[in-house]
Amino acid sequence: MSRGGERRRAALLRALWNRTRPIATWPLPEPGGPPQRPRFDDDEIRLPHGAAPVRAADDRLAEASLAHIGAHLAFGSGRFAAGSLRPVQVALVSLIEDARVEALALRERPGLRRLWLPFHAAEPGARTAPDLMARLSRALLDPGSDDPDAFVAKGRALFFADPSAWTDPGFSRRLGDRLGNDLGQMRVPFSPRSYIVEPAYRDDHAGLWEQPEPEAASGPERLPGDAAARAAGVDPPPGPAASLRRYPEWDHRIRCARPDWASVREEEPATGPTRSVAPDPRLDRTLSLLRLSRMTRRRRQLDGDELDLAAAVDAVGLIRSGRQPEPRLYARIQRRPAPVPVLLLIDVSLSTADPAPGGGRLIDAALDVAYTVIGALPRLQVPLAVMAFRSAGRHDVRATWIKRWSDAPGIAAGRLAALAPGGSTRLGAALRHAGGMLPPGPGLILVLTDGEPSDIDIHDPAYLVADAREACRRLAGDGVTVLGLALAHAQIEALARICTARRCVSIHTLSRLRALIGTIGRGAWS
Amino acid sequence: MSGRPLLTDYLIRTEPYYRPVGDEAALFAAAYAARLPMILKGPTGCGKTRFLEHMSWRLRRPLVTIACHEDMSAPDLVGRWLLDAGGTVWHDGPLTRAVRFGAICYLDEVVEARSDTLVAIHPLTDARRMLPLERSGEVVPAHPDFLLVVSYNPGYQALQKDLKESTKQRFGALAFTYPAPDLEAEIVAHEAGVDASCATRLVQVGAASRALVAEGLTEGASTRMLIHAGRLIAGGIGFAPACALAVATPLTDDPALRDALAAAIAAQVP
Repeated sequence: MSRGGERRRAALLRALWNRTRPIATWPLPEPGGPPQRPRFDDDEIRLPHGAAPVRAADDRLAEASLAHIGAHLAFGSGRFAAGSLRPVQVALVSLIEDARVEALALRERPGLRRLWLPFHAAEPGARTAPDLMARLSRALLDPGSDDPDAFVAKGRALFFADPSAWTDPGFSRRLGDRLGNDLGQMRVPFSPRSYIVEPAYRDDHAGLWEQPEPEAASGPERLPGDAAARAAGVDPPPGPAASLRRYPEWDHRIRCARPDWASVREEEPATGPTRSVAPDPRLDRTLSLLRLSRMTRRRRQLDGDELDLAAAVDAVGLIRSGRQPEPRLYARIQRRPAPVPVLLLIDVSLSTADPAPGGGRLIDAALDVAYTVIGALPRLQVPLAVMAFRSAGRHDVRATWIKRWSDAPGIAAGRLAALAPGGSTRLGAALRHAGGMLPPGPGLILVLTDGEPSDIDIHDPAYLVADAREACRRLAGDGVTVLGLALAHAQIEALARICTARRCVSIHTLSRLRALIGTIGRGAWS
Repeated sequence: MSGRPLLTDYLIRTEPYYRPVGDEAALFAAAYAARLPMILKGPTGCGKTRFLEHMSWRLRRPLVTIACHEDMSAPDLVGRWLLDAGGTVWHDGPLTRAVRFGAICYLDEVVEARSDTLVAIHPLTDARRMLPLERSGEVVPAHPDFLLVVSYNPGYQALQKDLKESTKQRFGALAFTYPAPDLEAEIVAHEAGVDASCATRLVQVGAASRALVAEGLTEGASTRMLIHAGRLIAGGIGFAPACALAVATPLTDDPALRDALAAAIAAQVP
């Protein structure tokens, strides 16, 4: 499955129609099984066209479906009530409605005809009801159609008689009624149970009709996979809204990375009651000193903010004595390079419910650190994001945004307060995920953990340590440094095995934390 | 130092095309009459600079434009000492020249400048209307015709770039946005020299790209981009390749978004 392909499908619906719906991907039907058609409702779109391929050119059917469903969303107006319509009339009202929204779509986006038309394969010849309907569908889209059938020709003439009527949804109802009647009088048999909408890109019409009267809905039975999934109690496949990412994991025994091994899902943060942290005047002082020290003066520059007095005096001396002066006459006030973005990664596994050395639980100590960092770094203009993580086996690593890059620091307090210890610590996957959330270029990940990684499906204590170490190594290759923050001095040793002793700091006292923030503010951690 | 002649080069002599979308021209003229410094806000390429060129033509004031960047320092604005055979000589910066001789000074993309640089404009933007030149000890009173105008793009969020509150509160502001579709089509048709139907289709492509911001595109296509595409079309290039060259390819490197844009462009090719 291609994540890029799924994003492309969502972006396509947005670009063509400025609409958004979760798009569920359904597998292709079994060979020999009944064909399936897309379906849409107020909540989602289902495409039974299989996994999204990487190349857009291989995904024309899904593209055509999304363009068609988008036209329903843009030009449809609520659902039809089936009332006393016969199934053949329901099918024809739906067919005319398809043609109506497509005709309106083509007024604004004439190029869609090139997308849709290749799927219309119906040729003059067969005269069963589904054949006649497919031929009519084609005749209503294809301006070059010359279908000789009287029914098709009549439908076409009535449809194009008054294009100004297309904007009225009642048009489909009236014309569909009439053509359905005609088809009934032609004594052409129509079986609603075996009827499949043609061509394949069009939806199954379930989204066009009011649902409380199931026998009125023209559509076929529900998609086979649907019932099966419900019977098995399986969640429907997640749409793009639930973002799931897979990461490799390093297995130290085989000295190899297992591809797509751990799955990380992002959870929406909850919010809890906020609490205030006592202000630390010494931290404030550290911060204001750091802000001042952002400027440095560089002397004897070719170009700069002001004349460098010493250089100017020298130069005038040289000029007066008839010699060539040195051109480096200016002093330049220069700022330190822009601070690198910092991502604070907080371990909220069950073990953080253990008591902390200074009293309280480890998680409370961790949250205090987080409050302080969130309060301090944005004041130093350091871009900051905060994420919490926990895990329950390799398929279920959860990451929660406490503060995204663009969130105001104030938003984090309530989300931090809602964090409760639970689950395990699959640190490597969390680190890889966090690394992917940093903007390209140098970055810093602060890992706030109680020490040893662990997880319910891992019994070898060295495995996750080796994996986390490998994740740090990979991140270092991308210019991202991982600093381990230990809440108790005793944890340093375990952390040092992951991010090396040089990159571990114990922040069990406030002064240590102040020093750490100072180091980050000066950019002196590397 | 000679005065007016220095700035005559900055006078705009022929009327720049500008299609008003509301009463912004009247509002700006009133702000100028009150010498109220102005902020022009709005996304890239929606017509801020063109509007100001038009207004400076209409008000018959020279327009001194300074493109701000993060390495720009206060001396780049106000001036600096240079050295010659006789000793040091003061050289006015573009802002000082505009202040001295009565131009409209336009700081384009002002948030790109460092906030300590921008503090230099504070005395100009309140009742004092003067520019103290710290390094030469001179105080330059603003010419009665002088006006300061700055522009910035609020959507363009390079992490925490914004004007200081103390800077913001000295200005009046006009917010620009992409013109309504029919108006934008009229502008594209005029500027690019394409027919109305082609301009309408270009504007639809613009709308598609702006919708894609919700899917992760940093910023949608500007009116300027659509005009570029239109000029290529007027020059004989096909609609799809012109849009790919001037809109889709410059906007994004993300394959999913580029494919979606390509589909939106293809949908406009009859």
